[in-house]
Amino acid sequence: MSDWFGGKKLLVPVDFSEDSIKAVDEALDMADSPSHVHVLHVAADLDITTPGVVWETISEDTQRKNVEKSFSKTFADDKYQGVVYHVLFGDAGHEIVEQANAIKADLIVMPTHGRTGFRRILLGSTAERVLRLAHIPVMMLRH
Amino acid sequence: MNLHSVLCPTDFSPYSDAALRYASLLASESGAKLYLLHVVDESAAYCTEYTGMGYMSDMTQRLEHECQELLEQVSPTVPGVPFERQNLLGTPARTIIDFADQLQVDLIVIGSHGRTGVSRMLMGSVAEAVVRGAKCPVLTVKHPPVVSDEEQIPKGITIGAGQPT
Repeated sequence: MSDWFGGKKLLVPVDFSEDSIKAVDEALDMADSPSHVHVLHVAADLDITTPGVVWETISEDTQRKNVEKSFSKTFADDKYQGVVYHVLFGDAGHEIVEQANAIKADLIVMPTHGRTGFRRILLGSTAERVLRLAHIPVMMLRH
Repeated sequence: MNLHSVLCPTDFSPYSDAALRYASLLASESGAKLYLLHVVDESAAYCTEYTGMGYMSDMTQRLEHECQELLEQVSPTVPGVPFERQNLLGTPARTIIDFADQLQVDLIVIGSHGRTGVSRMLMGSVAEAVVRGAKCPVLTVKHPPVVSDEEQIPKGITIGAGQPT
């Protein structure tokens, strides 16, 4: 699988679901080098009523660290060497498109379903929002 | 992901042209066969041109024939790509999904808006239904937000809200 997307920058949003990790693998297949693959996790905004916030045991900083820990654990394999990671907070659909603009990505690669969105619905909510908002091509993978 | 066949549905709109450019490139780079599919929406026969008493039986045939001629003019943008044109009659989204299923294509490349996509809805209804229903990966391509030569806005006309009158 050579250079379909030669020189292109690929953004892969992950929620650490099996399908989203497969999407990273597929993106690595498509991209010239792992450094062209940008992996993004969007964490939910911390709400004042989130238990950890009330007791000040969780903040954006600690959450960011947790996500980064998950990145290094999930993508420990050598083939992920060079992949660029991002962590953002907010609405997943919006943040994915914003980040794609910010890093001038050429393509978004994502599964139709992540952790949220019921299987019986044919398209996940985040996938749908990305499809609607993105100005760049979106590759929807079905696993 | 290995590409052996790519399906690019077209409705002869600039949006599907953008998808065709992408599909041709992908097919050429991966040595895949490109299927160019147009679906003649039979329901159009109920409302196109003829506004009289209802359905005209030969309208479907006329539409099919005219679309066939239009489809003959659609070719991959990259020379040397093996391709096949197919003109089918049916409901666009359903027919595209079924065709992809039958031929076991590896990828569908579709414009995110076609002729029926109202741009305020941000995504065309056919594209959306295909993404929802297809069993294979779908690449949606949004037409770059530029005005093509044919669509140049005549001078003297300003488009935009809030113009003082």
